[in-house]
Amino acid sequence: MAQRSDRAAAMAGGVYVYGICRRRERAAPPSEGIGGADVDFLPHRDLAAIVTDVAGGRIRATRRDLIRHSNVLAAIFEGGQVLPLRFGTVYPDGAAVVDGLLEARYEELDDLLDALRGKVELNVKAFYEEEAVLAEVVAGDPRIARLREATIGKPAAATHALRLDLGQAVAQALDARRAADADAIIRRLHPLAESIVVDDQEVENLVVKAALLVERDVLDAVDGAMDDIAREQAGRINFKYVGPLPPHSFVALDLREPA
Amino acid sequence: MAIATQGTASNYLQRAPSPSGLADVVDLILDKGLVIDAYVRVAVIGIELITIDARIVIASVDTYLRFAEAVNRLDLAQTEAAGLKELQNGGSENKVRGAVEGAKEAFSGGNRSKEDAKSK
Repeated sequence: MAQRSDRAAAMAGGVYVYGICRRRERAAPPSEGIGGADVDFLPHRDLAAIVTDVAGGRIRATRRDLIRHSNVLAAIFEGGQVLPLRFGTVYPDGAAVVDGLLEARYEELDDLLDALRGKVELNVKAFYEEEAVLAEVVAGDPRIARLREATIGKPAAATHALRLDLGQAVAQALDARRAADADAIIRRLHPLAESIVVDDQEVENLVVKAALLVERDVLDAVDGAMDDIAREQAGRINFKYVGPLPPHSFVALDLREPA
Repeated sequence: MAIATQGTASNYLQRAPSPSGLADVVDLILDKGLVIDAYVRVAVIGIELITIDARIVIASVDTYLRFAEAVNRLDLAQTEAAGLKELQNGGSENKVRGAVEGAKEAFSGGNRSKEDAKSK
């Protein structure tokens, strides 16, 4: 399907849509949109689609275009709320954007913009400092400590089964620890957030990855909480904290027609 | 509004007002955002070359052996310090997990499969 879509876009060109904002909240977009072209607005009622005309040129979505999509949304977000569309959305022309999106989906888009007024997304990722957490695991489980003693400095071939037991026990202990630490972090942030989406993707050393939807006026409080948590966990968990962002993770409205 | 967090925790807390790397951007705009019909999706050229910031965990013999090797490399002096720290960190409570899972069901359009994650 992706191939067919790509070919259709390459032949016809079209209008690339970044997102939707309130007509009165249109902020100055960056000078460069997808493919380096201008960014414009297609207003309809009190909504506006943020678009770039990609007709006449082949659409080539590159890494730079991913960054541009993100930058355009960030710039519009400076002026007010924006509903981000997933990357890569192209309509045949401006009329199709107005009729097929802004008018056809007006109620849903209007409701979503109202519901998200004044709210921002924050992304939090927490990663274990591997050596520190492995040391905790060894100290916290006598069986792991014994298996470690039994295999340390021994030939790998002769202790293969023991090493597997050790590794499996460590993996299980890490999972339990990760669940507890993730809960503790989320529990601290929960009272400050309107909503929290936790990504359950398992990534090595990842403790938790979550998107928070918060009111702008509690940003300072979240900053303070993150600072406290990071200080308490210093040396064992490192945090990456990004925002305020447009509410990418909280526009789960799926506007596709039911199959 | 604080843009940058200052103070002693800064070594452990990276704070950025916007996505700082391509991996973060990809995370946001390829998997999230409004999905609408009557559109053409543009395929992203070379997306498989984009480096995602960490390896996906796969429970396997290789993983176990790597963990075994990693704990065998540990310095024992560190282990004792960590043991003390562990006493200060209590167990988990299931209550909040339940609330979070609820929020997730309400807001997420569905779980990304490991295949998807790996294909990036």
